[in-house]
Amino acid sequence: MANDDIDVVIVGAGFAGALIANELAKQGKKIVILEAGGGVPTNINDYMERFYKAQDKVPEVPYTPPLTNTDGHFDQGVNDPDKVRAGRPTVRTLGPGAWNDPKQSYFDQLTKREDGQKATPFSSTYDRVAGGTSHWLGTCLRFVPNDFKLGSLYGKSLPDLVDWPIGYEDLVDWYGKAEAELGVSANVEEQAYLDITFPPQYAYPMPGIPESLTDKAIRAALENLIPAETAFLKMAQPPTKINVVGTPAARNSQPYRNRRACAGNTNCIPICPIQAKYDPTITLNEALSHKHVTMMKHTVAREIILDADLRNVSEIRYTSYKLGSNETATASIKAKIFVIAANAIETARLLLMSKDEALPYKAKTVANRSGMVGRNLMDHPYYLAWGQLPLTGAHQLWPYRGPLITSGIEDLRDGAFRGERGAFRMDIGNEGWNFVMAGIVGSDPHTTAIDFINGVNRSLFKQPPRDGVGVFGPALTKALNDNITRQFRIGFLIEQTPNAHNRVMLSEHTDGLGLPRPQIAYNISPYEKQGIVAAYQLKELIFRRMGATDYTRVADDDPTRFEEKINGNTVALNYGGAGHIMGTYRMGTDPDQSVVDSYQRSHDHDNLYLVGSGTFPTGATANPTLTLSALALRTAERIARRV
Amino acid sequence: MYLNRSLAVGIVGVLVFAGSLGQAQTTPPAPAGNVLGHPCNLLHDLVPSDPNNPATSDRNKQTPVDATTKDKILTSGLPCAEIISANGPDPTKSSIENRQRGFDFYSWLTFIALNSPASNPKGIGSSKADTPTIWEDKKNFIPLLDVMLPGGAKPNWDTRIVPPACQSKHEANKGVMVVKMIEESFNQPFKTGPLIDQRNNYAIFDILMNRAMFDYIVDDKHPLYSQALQASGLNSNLRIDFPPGRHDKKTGSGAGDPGSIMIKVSWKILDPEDDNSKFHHVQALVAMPRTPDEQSDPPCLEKTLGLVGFHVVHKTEDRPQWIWTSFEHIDNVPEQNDIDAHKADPVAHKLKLYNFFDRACTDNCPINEAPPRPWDPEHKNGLKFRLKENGGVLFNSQIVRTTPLTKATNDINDEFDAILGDTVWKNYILIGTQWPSGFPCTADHSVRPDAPDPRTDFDKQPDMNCAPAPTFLANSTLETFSQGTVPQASSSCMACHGNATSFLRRPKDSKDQSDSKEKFMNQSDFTFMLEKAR
Amino acid sequence: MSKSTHGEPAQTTQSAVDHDHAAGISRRTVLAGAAATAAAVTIGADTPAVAQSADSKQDMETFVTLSAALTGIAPKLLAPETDSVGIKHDYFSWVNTKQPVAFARLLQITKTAAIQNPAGDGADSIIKQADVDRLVQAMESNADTKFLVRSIVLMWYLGSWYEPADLKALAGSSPPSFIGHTVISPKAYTQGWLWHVAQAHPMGYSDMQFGYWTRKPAPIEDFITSRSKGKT
Repeated sequence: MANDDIDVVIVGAGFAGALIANELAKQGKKIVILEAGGGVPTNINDYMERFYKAQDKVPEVPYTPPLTNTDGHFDQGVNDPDKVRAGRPTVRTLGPGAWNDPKQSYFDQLTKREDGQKATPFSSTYDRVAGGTSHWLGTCLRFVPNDFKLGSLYGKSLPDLVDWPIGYEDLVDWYGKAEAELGVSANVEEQAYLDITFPPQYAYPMPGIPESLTDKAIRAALENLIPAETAFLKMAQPPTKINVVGTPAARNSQPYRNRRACAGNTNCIPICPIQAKYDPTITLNEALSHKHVTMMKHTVAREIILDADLRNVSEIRYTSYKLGSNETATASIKAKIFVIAANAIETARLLLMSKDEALPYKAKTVANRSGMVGRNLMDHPYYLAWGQLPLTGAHQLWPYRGPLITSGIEDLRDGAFRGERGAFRMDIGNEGWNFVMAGIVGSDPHTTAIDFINGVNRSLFKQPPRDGVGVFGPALTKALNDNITRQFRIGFLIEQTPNAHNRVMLSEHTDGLGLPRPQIAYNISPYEKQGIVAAYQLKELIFRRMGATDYTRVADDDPTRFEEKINGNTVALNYGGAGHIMGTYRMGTDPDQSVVDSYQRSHDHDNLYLVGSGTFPTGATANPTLTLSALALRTAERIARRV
Repeated sequence: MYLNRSLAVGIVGVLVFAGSLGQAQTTPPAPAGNVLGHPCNLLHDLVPSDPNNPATSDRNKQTPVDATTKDKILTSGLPCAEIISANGPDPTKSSIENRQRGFDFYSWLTFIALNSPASNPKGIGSSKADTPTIWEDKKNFIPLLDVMLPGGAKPNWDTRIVPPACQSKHEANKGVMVVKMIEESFNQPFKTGPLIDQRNNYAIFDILMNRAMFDYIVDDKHPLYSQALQASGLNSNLRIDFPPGRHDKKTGSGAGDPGSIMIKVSWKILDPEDDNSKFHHVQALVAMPRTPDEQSDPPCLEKTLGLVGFHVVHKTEDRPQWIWTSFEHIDNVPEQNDIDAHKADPVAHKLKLYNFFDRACTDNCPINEAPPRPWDPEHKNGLKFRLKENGGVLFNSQIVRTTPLTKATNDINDEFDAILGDTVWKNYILIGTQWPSGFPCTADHSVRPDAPDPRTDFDKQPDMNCAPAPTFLANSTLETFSQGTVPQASSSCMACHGNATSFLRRPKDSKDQSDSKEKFMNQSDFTFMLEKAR
Repeated sequence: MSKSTHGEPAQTTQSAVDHDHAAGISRRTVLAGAAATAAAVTIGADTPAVAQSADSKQDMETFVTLSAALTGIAPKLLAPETDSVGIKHDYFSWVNTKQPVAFARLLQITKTAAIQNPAGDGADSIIKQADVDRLVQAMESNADTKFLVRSIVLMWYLGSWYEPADLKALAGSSPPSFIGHTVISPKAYTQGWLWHVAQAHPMGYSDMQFGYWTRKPAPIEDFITSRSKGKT
């Protein structure tokens, strides 16, 4: 397609990029997508093979660029962040000594913020390949109405909190459209909590995924509660029952658009072997089925170049590379409208790399009059806990069956307590101790098996195997069945306040194309820590009610470790990353305090749209994918009117 | 004596006549309405012998095949179910090899029976390349698209939909085959891509079912031909269970009922330059599919279609996970070792002309890749893949069979080549048969005796597919882009079809399912046909 | 007209498939590793001739016995009569390549122990604990074999190889925080038994149907014991 003809250039073929491309393609627009990573492979043989062979089955491991060598071991030689052309972070380099070492980690993570506070790891990762962060779990929750108004509600005591420029009512139909496009399964009767509303007769595209046995057990434990034991939650009334409800997810419960229903492979993260979980290559392929849509893979956008009038983007400069060769080619592409959909960190990075000295404001980079580009980086700090039911009696939960997560607790995501501490939602894992142990001693059930077979006790079982003595034969199968079938884990996603000092900047460390890698300064504030404290107390309640033994522990050298006094005791806590990267080019009505408007159009440049969860001014508690998808569809409609 | 020896094998899979001895083997109840009067082909290998004890057959008599045996094979018709034994005439072969041979032989019999002339079922020996076959005849099989109708309307066995653009041509020739194309008619399963032959034509795929399957779908007690009916209360307790093929065990007459058979075929469009005599071919009206950018009525093309791929899937009483077999045209694709041998010695090992491989393209011709997008055939191009702007060929598929046929498969193909002699059917080869090999698993007819399930019990754990053998199987024209040996990702008939579900919905008042005997199951008995209901 | 370019009579005397007439890989044959046997276990695949001795079939049976004893899984499940996957060949070859001398000793110890082959169904299809203990005691008496035994159990359980030396260090006085492993192959991963011991399936590999997880699993006998025919 000749440069003059292009209607829209989209940087990034992930969720937002694919959805916008497809909507515009259906209306006959001429689109070019620049994708930094690989294209859509002919089949997922390579992805699955890499997954099966991997020693550490981290979320990013199936995808390219590869992290592992042919033995399945993580290999710096294969994945040197200085050399990879389209690099991305991995969970595998988050441990002590690695997280802040740019020789190992793609991110250059600082240990101190600009305000002098200690900086701790930003623990979330993404994929950089056609389809974007396909390793996602599939959760598709809507925000609750109050999530959009935290500034109005609590801004007096917490000035960092701001309102969104839109409300739930502006998104209600777009949520429905996003749910149809992604193929969300849920039962609408149980989703109308905390003032969430649906259009009359609304039905989700598919019935909800059936719940697991662990879900049922936790629900049973949270009935018939005494107000005194739930007062700590500081809800309007201490609940006597806390509901466990199905989690809406882009996971087929019946055939949907030629894809199979879930077969319970228990592998949503990192990859569904049968594509029962939606991933953006599905929408991307739909977009590419139109004649006027092309995608340039292995093509990294490196600079956004403005017109002389500075009000419009004139072109994007990019570098294409080839696998197996050092050859690169740099060129430019013009279009009427530009959409940057490269995720909250890569989009901010691209904007910061796009300097123009002629800009009349302080930060001489594109779209940055507010100075907010890269700032207000948020995640959902993720607090994990794990336990085991008593070994005798009918207490089996049978993990490792079904999708990774089928249900959660949503009732606690809003309340007046948000003036003091972050709200949270709780998810219930169906995968036992598989990943909670991974960072400490190695994933399960490997660790439990080794404990009994090798006579060690890295799980720290209260009834441990005998020192050095291995168990074999029927005694072994009984011990392993007894223990593993009673393991479970829960996780809490805490909302985080935006903070200008949590930010993405440019590092002096570069990638394989010589481009500066993302530099990150980040920590969690007392707001989040108090949210984790409340989560901890709910965990205590649940475990007590279930009669479960608590096996949660925090490694001494865990860089996210912190301590809080809870009911007179000093408790070691920590946080993980939920993979929810938000806030770095937030939307708002005031161009001095925000980067884009509610249609995700830059305040500063009329033909530039910045999409994805980077536009979220607050993160609330819901997984961002459904909301960013709804916003993307809304933006696509706006763009379609303009070209 | 013979029967005792066969029983000593101890494998429930050696079926058929054990029941008549009063063995304690539960005979599942006959599905309502099935008449066990169909004459079944009882041949189990090239030399006739007691089907109970194939070990008595004499290996030395197997080749060359004499005229009597050849005639018997060509005229004995469709097997109602498989006849398999762990014992075979060759003592050096293992039980799994003997069983594989048994299934492969049964597959060949099935192929011959279904491709026999519709007007003369015993006449394949004298058939011509364009003689209409039994499966092409509307008395015997119906295309899926004529069952799952727009709006979920009730289908009629005798009715075939003719798209508007084809109607005038159809008026002139009412018996002509009409192929209505949708996306799956050119885009392989799970949208892995179209197959473009060496003359730049799209390959075309079609799916058909036999009367037994059709009757089950339109049965008033559990109608399944629309999404709404599938989801209705009528079906919320249904366990989908297509009728299986079986022999009549009570009388030992050998008659039976073939049960459910589904077919998937791939066609190559034959241009004037092609030698039609090498393909079984038909004259057809092909209605092109709509495309994302062209929503008007697609054109109807008159095409000669040559058969290049043929899947048969047959459900039987003892293999309720069905038996999966696939055939291809012999000229479709080379194997990797053919290419390697040619590279090593081009003179001694010449490559022939292939349907889906260019022997002249040796450099920079990546294999087994899908074409560049978009994939939909543009109406103005007919069913040719679009060209470059300068008129040159943009893309032809360069396909290689990545898993070579086994020696045993090659041997049986050689034997049937001799049998099919001078007919066009000598140009077809068996790729393989996939069958469930876990006998305790396949013999499970219900998980709990007090909660009997139909013979297709989908609650087997941990493997409802009962250990498919071989683990992977792919037809180079139908699973072109999923060939390989990566679990879940690479083509395995049963691993994939085991995931097939319907639109059945859990009953509204269903209780907590954890212990319930009334477990809700939306499995659709190894077929994706039901999900095509509208 | 030949159907194939390799229509000559077979070079092999038999295919390395099922164990009835097993092309068992002799402990005297050192193969190139898992890659060689990966090809050998496809049904009917043509393999280069392997010297067939009565020993090699016997060795494979001994390996299956010792594996079943240690793992607590029914021998007929580890090595079915009709074996479409043949993982035992992969594992035999792997261990034989890694530690041929210690492995040979394990086989010898197993033969000497003269374990009773379980003849029944269900719980009677598993090797009895008394026999297991006897065998383990003999194997652990030797430093060479003590931890190799544990590696073999983990191999059957997870499809991964943990080095005996690493397991030894882990059980020692200053254990490392992590020990690594190598997944033997994607096929091996999908054949892991530990998940079945837990009445589940390997993560990323489910052969069960939609909704199974909302119900209790089948009893553990369905997962780790064998029967001679189906329950009807």
